[in-house]
Amino acid sequence: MTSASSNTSEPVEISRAASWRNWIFVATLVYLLLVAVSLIGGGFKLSAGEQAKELFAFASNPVTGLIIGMVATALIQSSSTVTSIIVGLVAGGLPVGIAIPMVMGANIGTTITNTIVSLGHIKQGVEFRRAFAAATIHDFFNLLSVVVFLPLEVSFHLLEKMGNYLAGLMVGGDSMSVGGFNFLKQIVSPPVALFQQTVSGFAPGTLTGILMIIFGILLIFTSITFIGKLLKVLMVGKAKTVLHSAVGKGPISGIFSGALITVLVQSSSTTTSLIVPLAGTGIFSLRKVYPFTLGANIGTCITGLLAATAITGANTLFALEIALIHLLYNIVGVVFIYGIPFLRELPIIAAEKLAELATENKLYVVAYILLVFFVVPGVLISATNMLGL
Amino acid sequence: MEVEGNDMDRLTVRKKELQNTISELEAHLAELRERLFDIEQEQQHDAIDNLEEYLQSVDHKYDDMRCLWDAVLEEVQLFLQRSK
Repeated sequence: MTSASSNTSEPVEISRAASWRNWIFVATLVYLLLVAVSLIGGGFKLSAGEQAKELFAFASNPVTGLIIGMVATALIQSSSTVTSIIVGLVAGGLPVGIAIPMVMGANIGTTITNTIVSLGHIKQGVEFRRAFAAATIHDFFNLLSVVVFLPLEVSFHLLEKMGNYLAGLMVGGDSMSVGGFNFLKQIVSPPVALFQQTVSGFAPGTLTGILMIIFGILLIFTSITFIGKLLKVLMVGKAKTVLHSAVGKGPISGIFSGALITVLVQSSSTTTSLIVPLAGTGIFSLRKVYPFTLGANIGTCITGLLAATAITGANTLFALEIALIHLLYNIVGVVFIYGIPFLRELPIIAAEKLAELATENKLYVVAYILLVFFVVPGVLISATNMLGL
Repeated sequence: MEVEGNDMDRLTVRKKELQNTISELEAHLAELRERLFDIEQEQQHDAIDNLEEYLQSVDHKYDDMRCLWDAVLEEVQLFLQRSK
């Protein structure tokens, strides 16, 4: 971003112009994200109609829902994409109770990204041990969170009740009436209506709905990917400032920093993957990066909340509810698990032990990935189905 | 009795000397720990200043998977050699 001119003010202006251009791209992509979420909601309503609940009856088993969220996120490598899709589906009629385990699963699925990043150090002995531990501590925390909170949610629906209460406070009536969000309907609805009209010209109602969902998913994935790439470049300076301010401070500062950086770059995968090479150098210890990772869990919820603002109509409450539940789940998880010393230590112990084993024999890495992301989910689904749960 | 008194005084003095030495060592240790903490913080600030390098390493997931594949192949070959 420099000019050949000898005038020193020109490079700064070009840089500013490029920065403005990038910000306009980001704003456009955020708009497309909102349109995409609205497309999914509209498409699901159109295709499923009143049968939304029946359509997702197979996911009424919370373990199945958890695994759907986990596998979808592991494949796409973006929890923001999956949670935005889930918000859109809830807006279209997917019951919130079925969506909650999916959101929990998305938390687990996103951890595969930083685990993959740690594999780049696999030939570097001690560095790999540190990097792999920093990656898997995120996995173990999220797994522990599910082990603690999924049974509680299935039994008592606490998160659903809290989310419903908070959403009810924020939403008045049929459409978003908070802080002038009604203007979003004006700018998001036209392209959705245009797409629907265009497609319904050559496809019947259900197929139109399905095409809206598919296009919406592709658009969410594309917009979130490019938002992430652009913000990584635009926000690296701010991210450095945040990190500098957290050096030498305690875990609360680490959690806030992780959350803030994730909000800035709109990607928990970027944040948690970034700490892997930092931890690998040994400059940041595992205990230092741990709170930072937890902050990323919280910061990523902003995308779901943003997606919920795109929803208008009768299901606004439910869309906002699932976005708030995502946030509550992560906040409560951090407060509860990190707050209790015994629970706090469990992910550290597990990550260190696994990293030690993986350093001695790399097959443990393969075994771990296969177990966590394939074998255990398969066994759990079979077991819960056999038990009729 | 006088001899015992002298022994007691000697022990008391020795005890005080040791306590003083321990206090000095603890103060010195605390100072060293503080210096270490400052060096660690400086290293962390330096690492953060080179954040772009670490951000770049995040974008090579395919290469990272290849690393795993190569490492796993090596382990499997080693295992087969050992079992022969």
